[in-house]
Amino acid sequence: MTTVASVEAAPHFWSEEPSSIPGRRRIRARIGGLHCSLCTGTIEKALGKRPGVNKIAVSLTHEQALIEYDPSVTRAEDLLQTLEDIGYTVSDPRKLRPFEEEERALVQERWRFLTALTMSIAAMGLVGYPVDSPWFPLCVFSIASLVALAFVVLRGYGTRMAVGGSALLAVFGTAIYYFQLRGTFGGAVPWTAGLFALIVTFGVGGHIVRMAYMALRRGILNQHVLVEFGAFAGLIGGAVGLALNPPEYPTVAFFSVAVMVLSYHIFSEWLSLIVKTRSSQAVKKLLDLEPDVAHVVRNGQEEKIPLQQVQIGELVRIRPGGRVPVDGEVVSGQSNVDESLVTGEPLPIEKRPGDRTVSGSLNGHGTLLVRATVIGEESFLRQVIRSVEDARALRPGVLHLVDRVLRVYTPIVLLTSAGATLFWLLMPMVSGAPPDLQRAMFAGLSVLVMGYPCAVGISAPLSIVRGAGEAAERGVLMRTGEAFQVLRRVRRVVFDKTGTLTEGQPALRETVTVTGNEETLLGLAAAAESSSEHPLARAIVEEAFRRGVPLHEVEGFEAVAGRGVRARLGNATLIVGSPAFLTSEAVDLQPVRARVAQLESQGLTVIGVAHDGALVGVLALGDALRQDAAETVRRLHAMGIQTSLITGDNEQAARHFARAAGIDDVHARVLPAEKATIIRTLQETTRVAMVGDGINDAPALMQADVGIAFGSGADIAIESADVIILNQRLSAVLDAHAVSGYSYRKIVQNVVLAFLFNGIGIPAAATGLVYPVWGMVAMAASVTTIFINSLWGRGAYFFGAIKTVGQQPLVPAGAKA
Amino acid sequence: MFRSVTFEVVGEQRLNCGACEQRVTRLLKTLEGVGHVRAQAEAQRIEVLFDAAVLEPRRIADRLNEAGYETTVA
Repeated sequence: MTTVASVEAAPHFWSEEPSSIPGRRRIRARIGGLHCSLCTGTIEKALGKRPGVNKIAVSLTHEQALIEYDPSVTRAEDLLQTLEDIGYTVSDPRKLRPFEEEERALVQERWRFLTALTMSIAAMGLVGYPVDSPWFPLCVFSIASLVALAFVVLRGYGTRMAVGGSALLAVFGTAIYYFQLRGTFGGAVPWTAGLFALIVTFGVGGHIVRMAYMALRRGILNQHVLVEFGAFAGLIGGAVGLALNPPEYPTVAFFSVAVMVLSYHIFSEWLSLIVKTRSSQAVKKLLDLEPDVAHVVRNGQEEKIPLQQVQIGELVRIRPGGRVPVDGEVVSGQSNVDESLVTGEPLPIEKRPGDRTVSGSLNGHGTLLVRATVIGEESFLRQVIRSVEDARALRPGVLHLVDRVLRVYTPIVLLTSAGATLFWLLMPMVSGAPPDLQRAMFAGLSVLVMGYPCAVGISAPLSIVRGAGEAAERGVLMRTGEAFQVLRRVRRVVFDKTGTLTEGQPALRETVTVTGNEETLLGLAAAAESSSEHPLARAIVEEAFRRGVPLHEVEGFEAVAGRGVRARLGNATLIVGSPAFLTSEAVDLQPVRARVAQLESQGLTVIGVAHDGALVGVLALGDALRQDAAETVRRLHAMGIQTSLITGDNEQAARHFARAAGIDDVHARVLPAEKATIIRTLQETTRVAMVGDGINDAPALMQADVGIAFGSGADIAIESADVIILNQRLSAVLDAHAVSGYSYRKIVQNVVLAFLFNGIGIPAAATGLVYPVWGMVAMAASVTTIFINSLWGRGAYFFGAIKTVGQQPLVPAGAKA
Repeated sequence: MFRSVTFEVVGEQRLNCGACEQRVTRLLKTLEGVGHVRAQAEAQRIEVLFDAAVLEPRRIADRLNEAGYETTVA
C-alpha cells in the first residue's frame, strides 16, 4: 500500500504526449549536459538498446528527448534512469515551467504591440494633412518611424518576415493616406479613427486602464495614470468633435493621438518586460535545475523521493559528489564533506558515524547513510531562506528615477490642464465677452495629450539594455534596477572571506626544494600521503595527479595523528609531516627555517618531506587570496569606498586575509543570520554592497543595498543577489560599479530628452492653439532621439534582445561547472 | 591508498566534446572512492585518481562501459 502511494506521489520529470500507435506511450524529457550533435547519437543508441523502446528523437537545440515506448515492457522511470546512468541530467519540469510561461507572456505582449502599431499607422494615415501643408513631411516622418519600429520587432520572425511585414505596413499606411486625401472614406473617417481609439484603449490596452485605475485609487500618479489621462483626453476630444462637429476641429487627430500614445506605452511595457525576463532567465540558467530529491532507504530498499517527503528518523543515502539534502546524523559510512558554502570553513570536514550533516553542503568521495533529524521549517536551508525573506523586507527601498520625476511632473500636467481650461473660461469674462468654451476645452485636452512623455517609458529599459550588454561583455550579470541605480552610490563594500576574497580551496600554494626538483618533491610527498585520509594529504595527491606526477607505491605506511606520516619507498624511509614532526624524527630543517616561518605567517600549513633522513623540501598548502583581491580593494579605496571583511571562519584566519587584502574592518565568527544584522548596522550610516558566494551569505546579500554574488556560488546566494560575477575575477566588482555609473548617466540623459519635447509642448498647448498632431510628432521625435542616444554604436544589444522573443528558452547545461 | 589509472577510449563511441568530458567526469565521481577525473576528448583518454582501498579499476571500466565507452587501460 505504501509503495503505491509513494509511486503516485513521485514527481514526474517528463511530460506525456499522445502516441499515434495504440498501446504505445510517448514522453518528452528535458536533458542537461547536451552540447554537440554527436551526443544526440549517444543517447539514441543507449535508449534504443532498451527493450520496449521503439522510437527516439533527440533535439540538440531544444535539449530534449522524445521517447516512444511500450508501457507493458518498460517504464518511463527506467528510461530516464538510463539517461542518468550514461551521465546526462534530467531537468525538473517544475523548475523549467517559469521559462516557458515567461516566453509566452513576451510573445503575447509582442502581438499586443504589433496590433497597436498597425492601428497607429492607420490612424496616422487618417489624420492625412494635404501634400502642400507644412505638416505633411512630419506625418510622413511619423509613419516612417512606426514602420521602422515594426521592422525591428518583426526581425524576431526572420529577415523575410521583417522585410515583407514592414513593407506591407508601409503600403497599408500610404494607401490609407492616399485614399484619405482623395476623400474616398468621406464621412466615415472620424468614426473609423474613433473605433481604432476605442479598440486600443479598452481592447488591446485594457490592462493599462485597470492598472491606472488601481494606482489612482491608491493615490499613486505613475506612468499608467499619466498615459490614460492622455488617452482619455484624446477620446473625449474626439467624441466632442463627433457630437458637435465644430468647423476646423481636429476630431481625427484627437482619436489618433490616443492610439499613438498607447502604442508607445505598450511598446515600452513590452521592452521593460523583455529586460526583466531576460535578466531573470540569465540568473535561472545559473541555478541547479535538477530535481530536489533524496535517496531514502526504506525496508532495505533505496527509493528516490522528493525532498519534501523525507520524514524525521528516515535514513538518507548520500552518494559521492552529491549535495547533502538533509540536516542529520551520520549512521554509517565515512566521507569528507565540503561545508565551505555553508560555514565558510575552507577545509573539507571528515564525517564519521555520529557526526552531524548540514543541508546544502557537498559530499566528497565516500557514501554516507544519514538519519534525518531536522526537516522542513527547522532545517538549516529553510532557516536561511527565512532570514533572506526577513532581509528582503528590511532592505532599504529605492524609488526609480522615472517615478521620482513623475511624482512631481504628473501633478504639474494635471494642474496646467485645469489651469488652462479655467483661464480660457474666465479670461474673456474680464473683458466682458462670453467664455470661449471651445478654446478652453481644447487647451485643457491638448495639455493632457501633450503631457504624456511617451519616451520616458523606454528611457530606463533602453539604457539598461545597453548597460547589461556592456556588463555581460565583462563577465558581469546586472540583474535588477537596483544594480544600475544604487551601485554607483555605494560607499562601503563588504566582502565574504572564503570563496570570495580567497579562492576557497585548500591547494598547494608554494614549494621550496632543497634537493631535487619540484616534481620529485611532490611525487615523494604524494606517494607517502596517498594512503592518508587527511584533507591536506588529499590536496597533495590531487595536485600530483593534476600535474601528471606518477604515484610510487609505498610500504609500511604509518600515520601519526595530527603530525605526519611515515612510509618506506624501496629501501629508504619517507617522512612527510609538520616541521615539528620532521625535527622530532631527526631531520635537519635549518636550510628552510626562515622560509617556513614566512610561509606560516601567511596562514599556510607547511609540510616537510624527508627521504632517507634528508630534507627534500617543503610544501605550503592552504587557501589563498584571489589574485586581484588586493588590487580591487586598493582601487575601491582610491575611489573613496570603504571595505569590510565578514566571515564565519575564525578570527586569526580572518585577520590574516584582511591584512593581505588591505581591509581594516574585520568581523569574524559571524553566524549566517548575523551577517545581515551587521550589514543593517553599516547601512545606518552609508550605502553598502555585499560580495559573497555562500549559503551563509544569502541573507546579507539580500539585505545590502546591492548584493554581488559569484555565479559559481550557492543557488540561494545567486538568487539573493542583484549583480552576479560570471568570471572568477573579484575586480568585476569595479566593472559593475563603472557600468552602473555609465548607465545611470544614460538614464538621466534619456529622461531629460523625454521630458524636453513635452516641456516645450505643454506651454504651447496651454494657449489652446496647438493641434494634437503636434503631440504625435513630439512623440515620434523624442522616441527616435532616445533610441539614438541609448544605442548609438551598440544597436546589436537591442536587436538581440528583441530577436530572441518567442524563441526556445535556453535550458542550462551544467552551468555550475 | 590513492592510485591513478589511465583509460583509453577504443570503441566506436568516442569522447566528442567538452560536454562529454564533463559528463564522464560527473558519472565517474558518483563512484565511491573516485577522487579526481581528467577526461580529454583530444587524446581520447580518461585519467582517474581513485582510492584503491575501496575501488578496483575494473569497476571504473565497467561504469564507463555502462555509459557506452569501450576502454583499455593505457
